[in-house]
Amino acid sequence: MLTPLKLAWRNIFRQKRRTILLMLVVAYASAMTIFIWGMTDGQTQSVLSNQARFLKAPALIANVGYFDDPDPDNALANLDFVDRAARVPGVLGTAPRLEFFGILRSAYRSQNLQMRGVDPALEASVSNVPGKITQGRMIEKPSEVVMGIDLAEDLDVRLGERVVIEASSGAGAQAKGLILVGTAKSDIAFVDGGTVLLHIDDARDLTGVTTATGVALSTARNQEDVVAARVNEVLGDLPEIHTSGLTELLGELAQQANRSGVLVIIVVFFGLFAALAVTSTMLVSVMERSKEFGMMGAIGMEPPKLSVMVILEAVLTTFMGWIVGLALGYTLTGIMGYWNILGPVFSQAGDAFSSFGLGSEIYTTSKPIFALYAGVTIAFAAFFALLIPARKVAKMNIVDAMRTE
Amino acid sequence: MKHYLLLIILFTAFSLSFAQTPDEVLDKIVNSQRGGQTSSSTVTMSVIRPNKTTEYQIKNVSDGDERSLIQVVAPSKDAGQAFLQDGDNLYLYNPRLKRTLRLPPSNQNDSFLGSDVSYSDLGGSEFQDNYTPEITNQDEATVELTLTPKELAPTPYGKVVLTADVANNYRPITYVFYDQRDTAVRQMSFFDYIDVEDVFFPSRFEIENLTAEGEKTAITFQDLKFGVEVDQNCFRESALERGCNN
Repeated sequence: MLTPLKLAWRNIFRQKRRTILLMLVVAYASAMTIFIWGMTDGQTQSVLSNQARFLKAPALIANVGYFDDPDPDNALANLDFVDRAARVPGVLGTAPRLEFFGILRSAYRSQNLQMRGVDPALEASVSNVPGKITQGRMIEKPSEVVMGIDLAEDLDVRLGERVVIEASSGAGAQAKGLILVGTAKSDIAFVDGGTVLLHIDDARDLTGVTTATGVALSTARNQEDVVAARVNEVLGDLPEIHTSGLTELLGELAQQANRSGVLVIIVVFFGLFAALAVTSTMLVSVMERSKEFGMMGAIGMEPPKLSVMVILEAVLTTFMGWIVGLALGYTLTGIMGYWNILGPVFSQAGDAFSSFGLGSEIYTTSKPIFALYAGVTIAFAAFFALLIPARKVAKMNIVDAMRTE
Repeated sequence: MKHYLLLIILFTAFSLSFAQTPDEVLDKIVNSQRGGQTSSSTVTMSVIRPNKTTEYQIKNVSDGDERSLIQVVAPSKDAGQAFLQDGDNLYLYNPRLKRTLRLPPSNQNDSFLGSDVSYSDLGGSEFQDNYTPEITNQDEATVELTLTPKELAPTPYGKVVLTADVANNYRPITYVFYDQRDTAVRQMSFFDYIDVEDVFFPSRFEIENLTAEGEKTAITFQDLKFGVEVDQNCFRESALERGCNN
């Protein structure tokens, strides 16, 4: 095998222009593969992170019945378990929440919405909404409310003005006047158009619930499900409550976000395209070098070994192109993983992305596994080289080849 | 001199004993609309918009307290719809779906049949509970009360100005609702009061959206009767689909 390898290595540098062009094709395919995986993975991370930190919670402890019917009637019986949950490894913070449906009224119009009663001292540990308040401030005490900026505009409410929240639950029909103290802007449609944060005490007055509908848990990214499982284990003596990680909370959305079927098709397409380019060039090269192969065969290099040499030429060219592609691809994902270049691009594309929970900050990821996906090009190149030019060489008649002009 | 002073003091005290506080005036205005009797009526509701006017014919039965049945008779596309209010509960019957839906009381803020009317607009005890009245104008014929919301009262309005007819039992003439920027946003006007068995009731009232030109709803009562015998079956869910004998 050593001789064919040495010869193959020599040959790819004999035809520098051809080799460089082939490397560029492979490098492009590899770089694009890495970039597309990095971008898609980054988008998925963005959606899941936004869902965890803006819309729902990284993990949530609630009454078992609450997940099927998110009504204050299914509120937690007590909050005695919170300290135990807070000590579970991986739990970075806890915050009680009381969520309920109600009407939000201004002097001009009203909307039916889900409202969230929070403890302002704890909510920032489980949610990014307080950090996105661009006008005014977060609520500090009862009788204050924070809204998404689009919601405030729709209801035509300004900071310092009073709005009315009406609800009907265990306490009967209740209404409260609250002062708008802040508006949040996240560039996520559901947040900006649907967030209503009020003090949990006000929520308790409106609903008659004395505890909470859930306790949100803060965890490290990608640890939500693991931590939820640990909490379920620790609180196993309380069968009436359950802790859901992000996957369970998101349901079908999590499955859709993690689906990579389309990406696999794209990767295969790129790999195929590059490999075919290499193969076609190798085939032309083989035809042009028939006499050379004939000479090599005459001095003892049997056709099967020549065939291996051709395959190795294809593999080595592709491998070098792959290396260059890795450098380009990871440089691209590195840059876009540091600077938020994709966020404004997708934001300008319209509200459709925002409605899926994609925010204005999208960063690509750079995972080692992407190199393996890009490496499929090498496999295709080897396969097609084996199939076409290498077979041609293997079946070569040495005498006829030597006579080729 | 001392006698004159005494007379002045007595006259002032006498006058003051007849001067009413703003709260008393507000009570009179609100109570003038409270009959507490059963009633039945036919109502024409005209929803007026710049490009079109839709007229509804409605039959209404009330127990004078917390229950009422409203049935839409015309136009044909809306006929058959019915609403039943029973305390805090509101039921809606849709004849196309042949289903009765229970709406939470918070939905009472939705507009009724796309009009400018909602249940919460009619005020009543809401004025007395949530506002502090002040007499801002008064003459022999009318009194004007400006209601300012109490701190953190559950109202989105900045103030409400009530005008009432002093000579006629403090019947309301207009309610004007202002937003918190001192802009009038809605006006309710009451007309054509009729004396129905000692209850003075506006047989016509209008609700105008002052933020949208040309938008208002006019409601006119016909065949208005108070103190009628009302079939209690009118206030059951079955009456939404089948009606009742009234």
